[in-house]
Amino acid sequence: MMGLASYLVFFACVVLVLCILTMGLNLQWGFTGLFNAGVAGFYAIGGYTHAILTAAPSPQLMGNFGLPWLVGIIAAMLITAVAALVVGLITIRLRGDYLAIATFGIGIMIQLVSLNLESWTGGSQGITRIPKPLSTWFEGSLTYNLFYLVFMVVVVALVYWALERILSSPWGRVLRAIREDEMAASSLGKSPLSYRLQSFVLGSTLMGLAGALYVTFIGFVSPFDFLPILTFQVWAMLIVGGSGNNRGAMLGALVVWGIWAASGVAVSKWVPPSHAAQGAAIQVILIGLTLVLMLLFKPRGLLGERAVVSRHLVW
Amino acid sequence: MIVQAIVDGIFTGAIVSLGAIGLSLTLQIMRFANFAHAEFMTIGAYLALAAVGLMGPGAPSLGLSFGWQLLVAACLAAALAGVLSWGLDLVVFRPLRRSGAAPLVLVFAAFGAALILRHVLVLIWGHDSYFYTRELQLGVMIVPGVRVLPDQVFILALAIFLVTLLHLYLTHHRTGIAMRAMAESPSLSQVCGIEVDRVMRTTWIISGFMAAMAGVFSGLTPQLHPELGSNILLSIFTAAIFGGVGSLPGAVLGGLLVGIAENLFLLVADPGYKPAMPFLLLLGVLWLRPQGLLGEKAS
Amino acid sequence: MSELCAQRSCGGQQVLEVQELVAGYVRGLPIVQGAKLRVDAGELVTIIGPNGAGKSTLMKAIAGLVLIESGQVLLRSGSVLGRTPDQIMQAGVGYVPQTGNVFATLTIHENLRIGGYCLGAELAQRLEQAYAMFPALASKRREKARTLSGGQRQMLAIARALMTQPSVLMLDEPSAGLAPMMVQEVFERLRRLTREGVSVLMVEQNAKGALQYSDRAYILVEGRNRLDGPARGLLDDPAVAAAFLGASRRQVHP
Repeated sequence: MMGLASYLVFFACVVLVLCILTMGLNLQWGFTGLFNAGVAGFYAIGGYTHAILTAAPSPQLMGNFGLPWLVGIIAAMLITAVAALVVGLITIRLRGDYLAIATFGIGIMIQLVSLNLESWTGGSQGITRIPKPLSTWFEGSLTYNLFYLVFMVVVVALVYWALERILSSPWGRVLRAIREDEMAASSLGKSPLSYRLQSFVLGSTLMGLAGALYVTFIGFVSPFDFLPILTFQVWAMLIVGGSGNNRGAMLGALVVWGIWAASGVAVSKWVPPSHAAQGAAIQVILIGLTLVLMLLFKPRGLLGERAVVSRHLVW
Repeated sequence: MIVQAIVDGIFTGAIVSLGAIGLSLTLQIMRFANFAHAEFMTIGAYLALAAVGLMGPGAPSLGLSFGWQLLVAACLAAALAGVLSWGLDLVVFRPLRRSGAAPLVLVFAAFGAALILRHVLVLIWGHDSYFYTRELQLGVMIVPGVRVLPDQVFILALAIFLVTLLHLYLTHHRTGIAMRAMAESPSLSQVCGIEVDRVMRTTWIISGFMAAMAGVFSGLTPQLHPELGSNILLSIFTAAIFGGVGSLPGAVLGGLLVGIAENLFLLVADPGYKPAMPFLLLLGVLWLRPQGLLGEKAS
Repeated sequence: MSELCAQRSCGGQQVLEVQELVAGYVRGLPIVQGAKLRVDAGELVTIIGPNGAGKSTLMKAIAGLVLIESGQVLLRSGSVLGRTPDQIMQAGVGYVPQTGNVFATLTIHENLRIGGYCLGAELAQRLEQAYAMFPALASKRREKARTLSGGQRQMLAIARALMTQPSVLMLDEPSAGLAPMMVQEVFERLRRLTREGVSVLMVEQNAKGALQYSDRAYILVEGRNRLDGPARGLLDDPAVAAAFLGASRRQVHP
């Protein structure tokens, strides 16, 4: 039973981290209509920044400054924000699919850097010994994880609350107005581009935060936590839960990660280890199908408030 | 060294060009970034593998590492890939378009489709190494300091042939001209009575065909693997945008330039960073001249 | 009489009728709010009115490019309400938009070929007819349309629309951006077309010039008909002149 409890706590913590990630994407896509195809990249920037700053010093690595946990979190958010600003400045004014291509490229670049800049990132080995906050207060990993679970619930609640406040503030109202009718909004003197950029940066900052929280929980970071499939999974969470709605985002995170984990368990039970690659492929195909089918038949998602429709149709 | 890099770049560029052509067409005519495009390269490669497996390995001829069987296999694979590409539109993209989905939703569906397609290939063939041929080729020195493989020359010639064929189609055939008309103005095209569905069907088939051809021949050197297409997706996007979306010469020029740039980059940088070059080019072109070298300025 | 006219019975029959049309780009926000008009065979009818009156939108709605919420669009063959643009084209309506009315990246010849996309064996003949009607285009047939001057582009746009031998040709501001000499030539060509049996409906900002060549005209204001009647009558009416013709000071001498 301990094993199951342990697993569930672990699962819940990961889902909570993914909730933040998905809510960040929701701000970009659901509320602003920006297609970020490099979610894993911004997540990784947060995770690695935090790791490099807080991990215990190691002879092979240049970083690992052993700074306090909170510094790592804040730095992670800041650095991710800066990266998002740079990407956004170049691409926000372009058509949506160019933003998709550019952010897709970012995701790949981050992965590349994490694999190759070995003196800082540890390459494929990654960085270990990332400190967990208040770890000395708790005995044993299950108790600590329970604490972290409660901690994450608080953080997620805070993020949710903060986002809801922001979205109902004047800034948020302008954002909605831009989403509904860009021309009307700009005639009121509000620059759509600047609001979109702000939204993009804010959303990415949340992704960076999620990254830092994740590597803290796991205790180490490696490039394999930030594969492109993760971007896809987060998108799936948003589509399944219903974009434009933060509760939907969280539900989606739970459902999609649940499917992923369950299918992982099923695969490891029924697929012989010699065919591990095929087993993993089945998992991916399953998620892919869930998504495409969702888009075709239930585009609003489970809790979505509005369908992702466009007014101006050509065909 | 530099000349060798440029020459190598031209050969790599030929493959990128073939991939970029299809992407450029769909980007301009369908108006969405088809992230599943590169998977048709991989599909083409594996289908050809299957065909070669059925026909038996061909004896290498003409100094190439393969026999005519691979060529036949490539044509069959490419034709099938073209049909599959159209099928993907029928099953996924068209229903979404009909229901009024925003173009970005199509992009996302393309992502999903790409993952499914790639992993179906993994399901069937796994991650094991496959080769069309185990023939090793020796480079031929054409000019002091520059070595060239006969396979490379063949691929370049094939690419030139295919591009010329496509160019003739686009300028002389009724549907080809209609494709260019639709690329420029869908609404005016409709007013002229162009059947949108038929033009789109042709676009998907050509796009898939070209991608598959590129995939088969990129699988020659050195082997096939499921990431064959997705590894160069970024390069292909860059080539299409760099050259100017919707322009056939643009896609070709873009492909060659990206190929050359990548190889020159390798002279100074770590091979691990290879994809960084196309990405930097992409950012540069999006920042400075989003319509690309030969593209028309968008309204 | 030319061959064009022989194919249709010229005379007082109406070729296009629009009844109580309500249309707009977004459902629930109509720009055209109950407009009606009629075009008889061999007529040149103009729609004029202030900016934002919905003239272009009305024409686009007839062409099938804009959502029609209610009303009726009738051709000789029957109602074309709800049909797609290509179907409406097939039913005999040619449409020349104000902008984007030629394919700039295609050659003149290719533009005409696309204009005649639906034609079968008669394509070659129609191409020759088009070149005969517009010799300036013939000499540049292999050049891309973007190299053409404004006036030549307008001619190409008209030639392109005529490839299908429509019974009604609709043009949205054909004189826009053209030098006065070109404006005159365009209007004269359109007048000549009506004598050959093609009815012409046009939207124009250059009200005075257009009225001098038209048979009848409609004045559209805020999406509705305000006034209509014989062009001569509207030209001579001082109230109309003050309200709608004062803005356009171009003198086009017939």
